[in-house]
Amino acid sequence: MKGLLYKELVQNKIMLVAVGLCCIFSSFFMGILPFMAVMAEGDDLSNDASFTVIMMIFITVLDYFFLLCFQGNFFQTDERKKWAYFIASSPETSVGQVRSKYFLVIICDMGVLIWSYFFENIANPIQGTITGTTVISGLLFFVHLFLSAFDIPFMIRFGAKGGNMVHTVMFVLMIAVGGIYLLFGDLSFFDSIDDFYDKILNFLHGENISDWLYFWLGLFIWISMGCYWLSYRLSCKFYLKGVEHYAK
Amino acid sequence: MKGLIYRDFCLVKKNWIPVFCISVGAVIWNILVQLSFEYGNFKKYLLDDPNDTSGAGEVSRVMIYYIGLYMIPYLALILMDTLSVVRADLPVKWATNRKIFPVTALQWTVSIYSIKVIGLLIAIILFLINGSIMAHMTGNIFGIYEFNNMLLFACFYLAFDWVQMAFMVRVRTEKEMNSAAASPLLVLIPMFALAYPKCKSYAFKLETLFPEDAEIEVQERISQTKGLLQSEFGVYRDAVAPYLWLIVLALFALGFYLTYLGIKRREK
Amino acid sequence: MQNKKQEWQRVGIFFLLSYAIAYIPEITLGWKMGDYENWTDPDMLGWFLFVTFSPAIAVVLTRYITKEGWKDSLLHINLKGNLKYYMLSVFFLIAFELPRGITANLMAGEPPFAGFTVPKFFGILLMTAGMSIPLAFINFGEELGWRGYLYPKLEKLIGVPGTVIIGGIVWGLWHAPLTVKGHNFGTDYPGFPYLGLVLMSLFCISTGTFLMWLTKKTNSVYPASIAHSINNNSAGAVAYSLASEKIEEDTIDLFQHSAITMGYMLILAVVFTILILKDSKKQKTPAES
Repeated sequence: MKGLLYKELVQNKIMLVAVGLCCIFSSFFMGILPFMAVMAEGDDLSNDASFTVIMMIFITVLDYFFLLCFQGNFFQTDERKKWAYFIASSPETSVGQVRSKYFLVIICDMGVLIWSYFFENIANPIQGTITGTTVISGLLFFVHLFLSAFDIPFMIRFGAKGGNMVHTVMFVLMIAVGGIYLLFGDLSFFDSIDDFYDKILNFLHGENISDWLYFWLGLFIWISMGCYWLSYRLSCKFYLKGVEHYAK
Repeated sequence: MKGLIYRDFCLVKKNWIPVFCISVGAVIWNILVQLSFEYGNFKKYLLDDPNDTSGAGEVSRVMIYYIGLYMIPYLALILMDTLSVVRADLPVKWATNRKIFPVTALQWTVSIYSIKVIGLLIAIILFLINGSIMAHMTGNIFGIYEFNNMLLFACFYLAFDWVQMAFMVRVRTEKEMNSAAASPLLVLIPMFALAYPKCKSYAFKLETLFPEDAEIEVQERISQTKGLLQSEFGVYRDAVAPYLWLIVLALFALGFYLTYLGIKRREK
Repeated sequence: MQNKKQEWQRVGIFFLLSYAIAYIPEITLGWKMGDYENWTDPDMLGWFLFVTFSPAIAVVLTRYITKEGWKDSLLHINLKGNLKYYMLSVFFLIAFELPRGITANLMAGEPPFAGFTVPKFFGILLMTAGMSIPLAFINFGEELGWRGYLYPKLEKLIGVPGTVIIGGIVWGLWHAPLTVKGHNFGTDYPGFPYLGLVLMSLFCISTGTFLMWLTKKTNSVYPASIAHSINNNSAGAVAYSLASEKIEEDTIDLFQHSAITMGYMLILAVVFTILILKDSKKQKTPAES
């Protein structure tokens, strides 16, 4: 497994560097440059914590979004019949191959989480506010795991293109559900903008959080881990069936 | 003939399914938005807002109606695109070997254009369903004026299409495919060049109409903008409106003839 | 003999580096920022990052200076056959520290499970335990130094009981600038700050033993990192979720409470020291025969 994981890292190094650069540049351009520009004019944004928090949350979401977009390429690199049959006949078997892919996704996920944490510690002194967005990054880690749990079996069964279609459908469904909620749901949360920002800041700093919110978020975290493991078991079964769909 | 049309359908299926789903989704979305104006958050926060004295809520409802109305042909007319047929035929060298089949150039052209006609009909049906439901919900008019605007969209698509078809029938390689796909620029660039002075004068007049510091009500802004649009662009639209069906048929016929000629020439 | 001298040198270099990298910013900032309440200023964040990873930085520098290499680095995950230890790293300390919440209730004259409600208890348990797993990388910076480098070296030099005690004291005193500023037990207790340092060292001895046992069982620092993260973020929160709502957070005398529960915590040290010694004997006996 170590050998396969090493192979994955070397084979996908360009993609990994691309994801890393996207995260780094987007974080710096949106999270530090505007604040430095404001400071250069002699102004101070530390009073405007709401803008800082929303910006940092947006940067965190964007980082995971980049990973989700590039993820399909990790599976596309090994879409070769020769390789698939070779690895299935080796001592590692297709289970080892699938396991290395799942580990790669977790490593990339952890990479984005670690970057978010380090960036928050670098950026908050410049921004003048402790945003606490590592909590959001931690939650998004599990959201990414949950989405990947649905995504990856399709990529393994139908190829990277099939998986990307599932991506797209998932995004569209999420946007549709969000849109329907905005049209008909309870928006009293947004009634007062100041209260809304205070609630977000309290959540990020772990203050005044309702017990049921803790419960449902906590349950979601463990469900996402369970789904990821189940997805791995499913992908192991699908791997050789998916090989028939490979073009080469 | 039936077999050819069935073959072309199978090839465009991959393109059609998502486009059709998006178009139907957009129709459903428009209906949901109007329902929100009747019973949901749009009614609560836009229409029934006690701070809104200028009627901005009502104005936004009308604007959203028109955006939703014209979104459908914009999305659904992509069903007329037959680029995916040519792209799918390239790896199997279908175009090179076409002449060995006992099928005439006319039959080939009819099979391609039947897809376009079916695509146009589906776009029109979706447009009519969407428009009728939304008009019934909002009380706005949905008549020949709106239908003619939809046909204008179709004319633009067909204007790009006949140029593209002329290139597409000559395609043998992926490189030629890409230049065929980019060929609508030959129509788009002159179109923009012609429209640019008009758009510039419109923008200048809009700036004069609404100076920066002027306090003008939203309703007044909307009606003055509508008036300016009508005087700058609407006169041309009104001039061609009675002949739009003829223009659509003429563009279809032009594209059909060029495609037929191209296939016939290839056979030689 | 030469090996032992070389090992002591390495331990010494690591000790100096880890303390210097942590102490210098902490003492400088402590003098600059004043009381611990001021340490929540955004400017402190970058320095805390540095301090948190100081043992890891010290390991990297020590291995580079002494040309030791990374052969015995304990950086492999070694999941195969060790899943039960990974699960223990998540749940053991939470379960073990539950009595702290019960004693808080008893000290305030409340029933033992006064504050227990299903959403509160299970919500905090699920959320904090779940989040602690990926956030264990923050504590990896410490564990790579203590359990990944110092403890294995000390074990070779002074045996298991010595490692448990000396390692715990080193780890505890590493927290000294924070303890002195009131981070662990506040500043309002008798014998401040010396008793606080003693208590912190005892706490590190007891927890360190469990972490050492985990590291030896799995041959990896990752379960220890997870357990450390659970200890910092989850165990206390879950324990205090049992506390009655009548007890305000700031009325719990952390020092008194920790002192009372210390005896219970030291059971951890004794039990796991015995387990480590038993495992070491099992490993030696086949080699001897």
